[in-house]
Amino acid sequence: MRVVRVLPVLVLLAALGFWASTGFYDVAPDEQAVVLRLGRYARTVEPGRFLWHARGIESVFKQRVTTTLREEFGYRTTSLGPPAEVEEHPEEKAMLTGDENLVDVDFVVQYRIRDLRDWLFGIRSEEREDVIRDAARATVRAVVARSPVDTVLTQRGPIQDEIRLELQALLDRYRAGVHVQSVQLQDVDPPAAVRESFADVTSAAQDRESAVLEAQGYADKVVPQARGRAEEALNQARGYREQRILEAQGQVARFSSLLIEYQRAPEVTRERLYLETMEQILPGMDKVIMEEGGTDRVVPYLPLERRGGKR
Amino acid sequence: MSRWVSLLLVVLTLAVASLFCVVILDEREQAFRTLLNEPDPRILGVSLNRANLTEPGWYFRVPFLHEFYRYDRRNLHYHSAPHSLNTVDRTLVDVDYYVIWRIANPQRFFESNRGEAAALQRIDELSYSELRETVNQHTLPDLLSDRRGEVEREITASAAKALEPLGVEVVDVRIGSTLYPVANVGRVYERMRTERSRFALKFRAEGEQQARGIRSKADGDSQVILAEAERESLRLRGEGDAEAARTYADVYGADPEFYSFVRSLEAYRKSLDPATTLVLSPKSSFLKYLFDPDKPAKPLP
Repeated sequence: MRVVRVLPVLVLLAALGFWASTGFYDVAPDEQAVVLRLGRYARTVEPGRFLWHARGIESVFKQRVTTTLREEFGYRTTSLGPPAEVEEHPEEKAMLTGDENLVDVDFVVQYRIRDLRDWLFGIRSEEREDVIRDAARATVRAVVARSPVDTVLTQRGPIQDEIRLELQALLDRYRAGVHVQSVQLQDVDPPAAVRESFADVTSAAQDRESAVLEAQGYADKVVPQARGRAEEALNQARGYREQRILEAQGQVARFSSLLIEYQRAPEVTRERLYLETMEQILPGMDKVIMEEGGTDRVVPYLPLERRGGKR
Repeated sequence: MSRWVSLLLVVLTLAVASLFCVVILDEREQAFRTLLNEPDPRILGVSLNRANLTEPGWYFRVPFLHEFYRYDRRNLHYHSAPHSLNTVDRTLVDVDYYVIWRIANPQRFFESNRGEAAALQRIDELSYSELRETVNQHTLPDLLSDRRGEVEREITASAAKALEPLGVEVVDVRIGSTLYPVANVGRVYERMRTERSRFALKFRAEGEQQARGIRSKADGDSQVILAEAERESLRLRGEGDAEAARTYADVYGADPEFYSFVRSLEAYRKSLDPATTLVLSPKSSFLKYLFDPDKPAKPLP
């Protein structure tokens, strides 16, 4: 009787216990989980073991969230390699720039799940990849469409940042629940048909640089040369000045001492100077001694042959 | 005992009944509910049914009386085929676009479309006509600038207005790519080539211009440097000459006659070389003793 009275309670408890035991679940370290209670969002669960939910009332959606996902545009990596094998998709490359030029752009978008609730319930999961691809495709083209071709070809960094920010804003609006980690423009090229013309512009820019460098080289040579020559002329002039002054001083000193002697005995000094000079200049010369007035009668001549012979 | 048994029975019955009488819509779902196939049956003006169930949660259902039509509550995606469109400046462009949309009003959606396939068809037709109309009113440069966003907002707004009666909310319409039709690409390449060669010419000419500027400036600078040096060195030479002249004048001025004598002697020494033939008169001072040794000394010249 006693047992019979408790039996339903036991049955109920056993049933409750069994039900409760089915509610345990684990969330792996690289996962998160979202729990819905009677269909409504209840909580987001971080990794852990022996977590519990009320089965039948709550449902658990687990998802790996740490992986970085990527979408490639213009090409697909078919094998990671190394070396990686790549399949080209040229139909995805062409886009129009702001100045109505065509460019071929390959790019890759990397993202990961940021908000698991939005990831699961924001966009229909079968179409999520299409949405992300389409949004990325449209954003890249929109940014390229408002940039001139030269910016697109040379300033990848700022363009990538702009695309990343816009794409993030767009995907937040679509409740994709993702964080766009990076948008990388891989190959940005003019179309093959006009590649040569673009290369020529590049080499023209280099020609300009080298012309300027060459001219600067010339300037670097010519101006110092002129400075050198100027320095030289100045030094010569300075030398000349000193030489002239010193020479004058020398001459003057000599004259002054001579003058002192002369003033002491003018007659004798004068005679001596004269005779000394004559003594010095006369020995080697031809000398002809003629009476006074002789020059009136004899035609003085220069014995040219002898002079020539002496030479 | 009978009390416990009956309690157990009640609990079980409730549990089983709940399976039939409660409908759970989770975060992904919404529904259109009818009562006896009527969305809004009334008794004495009092509504007996809420038809639009757009929030997740549990909802009451009387079996066989209530009917639930479930729809997706999430954002959905539609991608168009490329269309060739004329802009207002008569340029032909190939444009494709995508639409992000969701079912905002399950009742209207049910009444006008029944299913998504039909809805997509309507979305395609309506968004395309809005796109065509908007693009027709804009130029290609509009699509290739900041105004592309405006154009897209315009299309989104008018598509949203057109699709709202169908229970569809248009979240966004965005242009995917704008490209020239294949037939026109050749001309575009030609234009690009012309433009590039213009740049190349310009760069080379600029290089020449700058190089000439630098070279001529260097030449001019060095001429100035040389001329200044010339001026300075002439000044220095003049200074030297002047200083020398002053020195000479100061001292020589003391006895000009003696200076003239000494300087003449020096000049003789320098200018009369051994090749000179000198004609001397016996009466000259130098020879005065040669023929007349007794002659008393007479002052020299």
